[in-house]
Amino acid sequence: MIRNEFRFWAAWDYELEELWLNHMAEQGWHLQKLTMGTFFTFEKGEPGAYQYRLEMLDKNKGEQYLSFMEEAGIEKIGGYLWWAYFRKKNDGTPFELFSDVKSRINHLQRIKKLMDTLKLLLTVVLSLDYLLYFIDIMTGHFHGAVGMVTMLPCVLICLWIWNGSKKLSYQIECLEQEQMIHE
Amino acid sequence: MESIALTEAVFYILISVAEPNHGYGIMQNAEKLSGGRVRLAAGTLYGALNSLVEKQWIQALPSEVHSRKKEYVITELGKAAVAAEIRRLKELLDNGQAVAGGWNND
Repeated sequence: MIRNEFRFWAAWDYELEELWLNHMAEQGWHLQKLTMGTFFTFEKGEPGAYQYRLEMLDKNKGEQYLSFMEEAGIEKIGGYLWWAYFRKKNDGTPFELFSDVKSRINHLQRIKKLMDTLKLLLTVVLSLDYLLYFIDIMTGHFHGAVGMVTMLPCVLICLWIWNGSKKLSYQIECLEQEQMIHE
Repeated sequence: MESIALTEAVFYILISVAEPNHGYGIMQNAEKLSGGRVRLAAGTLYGALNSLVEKQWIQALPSEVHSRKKEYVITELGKAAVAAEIRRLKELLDNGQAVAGGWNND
């Protein structure tokens, strides 16, 4: 039996996405395929048979990493952009990709770096845009005003990414605090 | 020699490759030696192995034709790092026991 779900998950909410996938798996719905990062195809199976984890890969983690994962019984069932969707047969032990604070921080910093690049790019482009619209209005052309309104969704998206990046910063800060005491 | 503490993961990886060993073997060995306490996660292990190869504390052995499993073995530098770490741990242990020895055990 197959079940399809449509969801949009932000990169900084990947842990929520993991929770969702594992919750589905506990009920017997196992993620089998991922299309465009938003269409999730689940297959009915034994409740709790698989456990899922997500990781944003980088250039150091290519084919070698994937075959290393396979050795450990971890298969990549799909991916989207830099993201890899891993699953492992439930052997009664918790499935984690990172076992110390340092590697968890590294992962979050990787994600944050990408978000910050996007955020900077969008901010620069939108600022230039709005500057041009402003000049437009000042020189008596009013289609600049229309532009300002139609570009508002983009401004909102930019703010949303700024907020997401802040969430990641906060998570990283908390982990760095923990590093003072534990590994 | 540096006197910065090694992480548990690195320490157990180093002693697990005294003889050539592969990723999964290292994971199992660390778990066995620590009585199930230290469980090296794949993502962490992979990163650590690469760092250790870069530091030349371990070296990757050329993989056999029919085996996709990459093996690693400790180097002289790695052995020195383990020896230094054991000295550091012994210092902590001795100092700790000297103080905590006077505390009541519940």
